[in-house]
Amino acid sequence: MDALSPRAWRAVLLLWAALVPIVLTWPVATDPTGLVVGHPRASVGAHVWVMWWARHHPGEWFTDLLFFPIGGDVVRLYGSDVLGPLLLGSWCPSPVLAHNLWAAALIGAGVLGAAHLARVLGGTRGGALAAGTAFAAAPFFQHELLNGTTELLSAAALPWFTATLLRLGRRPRPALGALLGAITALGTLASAYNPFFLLLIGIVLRGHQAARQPGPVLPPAFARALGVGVAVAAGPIAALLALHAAHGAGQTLARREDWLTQDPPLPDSFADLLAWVDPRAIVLPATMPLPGGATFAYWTTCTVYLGAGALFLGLAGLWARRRGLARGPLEGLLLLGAAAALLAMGPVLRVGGEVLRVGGLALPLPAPTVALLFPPFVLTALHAYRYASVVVLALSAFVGLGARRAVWAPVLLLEATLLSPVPFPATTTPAPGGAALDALAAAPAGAVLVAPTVADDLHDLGRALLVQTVVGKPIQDGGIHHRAGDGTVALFKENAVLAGISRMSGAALPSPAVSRFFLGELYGLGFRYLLVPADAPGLQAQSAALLGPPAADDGAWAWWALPAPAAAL
Amino acid sequence: MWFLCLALARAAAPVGGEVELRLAVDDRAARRLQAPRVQVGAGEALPLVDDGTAAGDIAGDRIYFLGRSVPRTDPLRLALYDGDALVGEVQAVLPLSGPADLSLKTEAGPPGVRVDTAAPPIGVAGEGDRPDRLALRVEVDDRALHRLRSPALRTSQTGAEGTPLRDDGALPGDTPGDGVFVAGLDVARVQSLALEVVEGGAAVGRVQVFLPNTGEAEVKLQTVDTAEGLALLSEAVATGAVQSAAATGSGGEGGGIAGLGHLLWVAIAGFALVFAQMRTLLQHRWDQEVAPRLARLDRVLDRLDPPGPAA
Repeated sequence: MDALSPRAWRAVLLLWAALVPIVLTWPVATDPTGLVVGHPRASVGAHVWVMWWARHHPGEWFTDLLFFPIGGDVVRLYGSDVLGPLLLGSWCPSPVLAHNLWAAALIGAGVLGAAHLARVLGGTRGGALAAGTAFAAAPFFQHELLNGTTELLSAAALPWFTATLLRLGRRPRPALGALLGAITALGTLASAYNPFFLLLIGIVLRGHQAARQPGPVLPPAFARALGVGVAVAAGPIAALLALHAAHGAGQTLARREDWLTQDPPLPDSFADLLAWVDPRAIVLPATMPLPGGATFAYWTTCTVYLGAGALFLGLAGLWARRRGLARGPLEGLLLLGAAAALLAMGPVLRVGGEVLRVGGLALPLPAPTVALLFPPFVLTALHAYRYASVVVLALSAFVGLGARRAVWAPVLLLEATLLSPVPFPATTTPAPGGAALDALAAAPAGAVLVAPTVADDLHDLGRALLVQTVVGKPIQDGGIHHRAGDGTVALFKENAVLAGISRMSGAALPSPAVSRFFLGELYGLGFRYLLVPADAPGLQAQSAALLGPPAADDGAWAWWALPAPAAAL
Repeated sequence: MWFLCLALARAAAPVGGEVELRLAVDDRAARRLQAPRVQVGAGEALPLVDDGTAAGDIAGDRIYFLGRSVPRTDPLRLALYDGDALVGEVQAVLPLSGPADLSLKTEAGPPGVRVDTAAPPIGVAGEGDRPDRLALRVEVDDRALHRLRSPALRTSQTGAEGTPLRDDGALPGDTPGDGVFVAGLDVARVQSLALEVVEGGAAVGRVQVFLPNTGEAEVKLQTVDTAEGLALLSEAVATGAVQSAAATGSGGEGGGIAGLGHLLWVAIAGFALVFAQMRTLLQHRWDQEVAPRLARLDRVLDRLDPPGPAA
């Protein structure tokens, strides 16, 4: 690999960065407009929906397409990733294709970024390929691909940021400062989590460097270059902050302030100590107990397993300084990985699924202290495990130093596909379609009651949102209810039909007399159609008994036109 | 400057429309009210209740409540009557947005009634002192079936006659005669509570609700034409602040040892920073000052006593 000309090396790197996402998302490449990468019960549908919204309803921040008739705030519900919908969603004719392309682009950018970081640290070209693979194909990101959370895949900005920050520390130049600012801005636009990750990286690496060398923490040349970076990043980030501030960021912060008192905690609110080295296959869904013995199926879980190959090569990389590599950045990266791992493990140490207690006391981790000293941290603390992306970054940097030959790259990719806790081939969701949905799309205007759409159940929600990208008509749901706000979901607590089809334990229509009254109420609000999938035969039978034969039924979906209240009553 | 800003904001605020008024009248000291009513502006006099049906109300404690949407005027003029006798009048300034909470207190002498600025927040009265209590608002939707006339709500914590479910608009947020009956209960905090709706002494239906860990909650029920008679429309939803883990004895694992944890991690971070800086400074000083002198000393010693050939 070292014998290649620079141009040939860049070509190899780019080809590898294109191949890795194709492999990790396989079989999506066989049908990129008909298959969405990600689990049907995770938040894939929501991300595809945002792409569709960006093309068909751009700037409609508050839309009655969701939570009809009251409407929902798109920024509040799905505003974490602004960049993807802006870059791809706004022009791509297929929202499914846009989502798949965005996911693939982020994986590829991660490969290139981690490879670049490895080279900046002094790794070989082969090591750079291995580092790129270890980062982008980490089980952590594979699981986020399964969840459909592209805002976590956009942690691809982290290695670019880290490499540029290290280069800036060595040779402070305004151009590098501007590049750092541009990466920060793009990363922040791509994910609400990235600014926290970037801040952590910046503080730990610069703090470590400052502690290692006498003199000012920010030497004048470095400060000047940083100033250029701040000037570059300030505009987009200020605009984004203003957008979020105007769309309920304060309420989100207030809502998440109870993260320490969640009982039971969300399955993805912490990383277990053993989970970092636990290669067992993921179990979906995670079952959460509810009051009264009921349970809730939680689909967007997490994987923080680091991978045997990456861990082996990372440990080898720890000794890299013996080969004359810079000692300072490696210590800093080690510190960064440790700090991120501590944050990812949540408020207290858990081992094997249980809180570890010493003398009856749980062992406190630094997350609550960070939240106390830096309150905005609570925005990310509810899903603290996501700081594992910074751990993966640090590990991949060491992989880049531990692996010297390019052969490690395919080995790591093979391990990521065959021995990862996340299943391979990638889990995909078929894009909805068919004669019934086409007929509904062509039907006169009116909101659609999609049943069942169990409240706060991502499965039903994702499917309903995907359906909306086909039929284009408003629907009654649109997101996690507590995120949407009380006013938005008030109808769910007042209308027995809506409550019935949103019930967590067995969605069903109420008795015919009650259904007729409340369907009449919904008609009065603008609902004109009832859409039921074939996998809810009970609801289809109830609907047929109440409303007669469906207007269209293609075996996958059936829909009924709701009668006017006078006719209904 | 702040007063100027407030004045400007107030001047710019629209006057008109309606405001959700939550009124509490404390008659515990003066004890002069028998059938209190309040007239808002030029409207009709509305009855105040002390039967435990309002959220946060304790029946018979001589703190009377009223919740009602009233025309927004600035200032808001209220006249308190006991029966037909005028007790006193007050004027209040409404907030620029949101519901208006107003606490009054009766006086034995003139002016009869005054604004009570020291009263606890309405609806969460004494919540901070009562971590074991929950103000529960219960709505029963009978719009579809029209089965209820003068229903009552029974729980294991209320008497046999229960708490009246009202549809006369006396409780905050209730629309009179709309078929949705409302009651406010003040209950001991329990994990779950059985609610039974009775009509003319006969049970209409019964449901079990799980209560959230807050000072206030709301639960919505509906009458159904099945054997159950009553169904849960929505689970009990928290409408007040979450009780602290310390107060309830549950909640986050970090709660009890949070202070120790903060101390520990701040100490670790501080020590690491100081240690690293000290090490760097010592290393720098060694490299810049001590090491050169040692080298010079070494050279001097070598000159004075050159090393001999190895044995």
